[in-house]
Amino acid sequence: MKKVLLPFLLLMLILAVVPDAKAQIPRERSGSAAVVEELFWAPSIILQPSSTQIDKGNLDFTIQHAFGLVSRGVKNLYGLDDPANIRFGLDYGVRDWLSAGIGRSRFDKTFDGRIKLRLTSDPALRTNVFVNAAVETPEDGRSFEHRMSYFSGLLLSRKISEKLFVQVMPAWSHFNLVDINKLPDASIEAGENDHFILGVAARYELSEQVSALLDYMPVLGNRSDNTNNVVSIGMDFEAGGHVFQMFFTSTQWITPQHAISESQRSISDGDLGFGFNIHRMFGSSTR
Amino acid sequence: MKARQTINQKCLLVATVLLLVSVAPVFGQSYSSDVGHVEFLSSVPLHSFVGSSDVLTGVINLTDASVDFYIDLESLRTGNRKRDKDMRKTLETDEYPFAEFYGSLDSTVDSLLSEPQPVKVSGDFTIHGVSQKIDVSGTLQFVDGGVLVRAEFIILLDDFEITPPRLLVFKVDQEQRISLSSTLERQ
Repeated sequence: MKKVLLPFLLLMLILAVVPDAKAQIPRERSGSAAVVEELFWAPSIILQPSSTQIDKGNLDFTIQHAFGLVSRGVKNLYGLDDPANIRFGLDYGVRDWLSAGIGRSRFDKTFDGRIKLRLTSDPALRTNVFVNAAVETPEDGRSFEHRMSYFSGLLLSRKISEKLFVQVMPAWSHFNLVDINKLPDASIEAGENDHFILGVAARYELSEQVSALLDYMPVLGNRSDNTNNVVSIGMDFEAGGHVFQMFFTSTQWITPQHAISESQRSISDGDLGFGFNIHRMFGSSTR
Repeated sequence: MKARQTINQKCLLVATVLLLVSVAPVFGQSYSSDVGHVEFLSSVPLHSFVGSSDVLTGVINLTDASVDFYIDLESLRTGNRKRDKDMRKTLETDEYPFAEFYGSLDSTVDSLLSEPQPVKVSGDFTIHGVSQKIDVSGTLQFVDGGVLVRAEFIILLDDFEITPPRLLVFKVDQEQRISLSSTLERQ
């Protein structure tokens, strides 16, 4: 008994007298869920909605401008002197996968409300749904119902390479009433209530802060007379809380249903106008 | 025979007392948590942003006055996924996943006081694989079953061989303000 006890006693004595050796706690990874890498820097590409979602609790304030034709020359400062369509918008991240927003455009005094949600975040094929409803509010005697229009699209996007990101968007737009008399250009002879498009968009990353953008919205099937597919090309500039998008586009309409069904500019005639979008993200992490 | 038994019993008693004495402070004066909150405040001209995380892990041992905190940098969120990605790239989190502080408490604290007590700690702060000696001021408040720790300090990115990223023409400020708060439970 004594033989066993003595070493035990000595060990206890050592433990009691010698100060505790300082030891760091073992470092362990937190296991935080991997961040879903967004394929586009802003919730819109140029005119098309992008698959990018607004984080829960964040607010995206958007200012969008589309000016007159560049071909108007220096006397009109390449279209900048012409009346511009302007849209102000606010989109809020209700969840990381769901945002809701409102906006107001100058043309036809159009108010719009919209929702975007992410269905899958698989980088091989990300899927989102975007829907909006818009109401035009000029004093022209139309009933509320006849002022309404709608747009819905399925956003399919993926990362092609480290620098190239693409999105395809089958979409449908609907106007309750196609009123040819409200159009400033009387050359439109007949309008369609419904349009189907297959939007194509891409972002090519030139640097960590600069990307090139393409946004193309070809109409499939019937379309309103004298209207043309909308093409936009531009640049993305990412600056922390801001994303600046500067572009040339073949429409002055900003809400997608109007761009699809009412754009008369023709890219083949060089009908391009300058425009820009500014996205400013506000949130609990941005001051 | 009886005398030998008495000696053995005494030895056993002494050994037990010594054992209790040696382990008691460890169990009685050690506090830990793995759900603390930490914020890294970064500035660029015209605006600033915060990277925050709620998985700050830390241990304070009042017996040996050791203070040990670390954060998995990939748990930081700034509210902008591109910025999160850029931040991880800047900090090279694949190679250096943790920001950590390991040092000692330089102030004496009274565990019977319930008011916040100003404390100073000194030690090594490590991020991006580079360690620097720093002094940190904060408060320590004994609460029910634990201790609430608050602290704030500033580091310079250059000191840790971190190249401040650029946001267009603007450079992220060298100065990073780090603040933390955590309620550590008694072990």
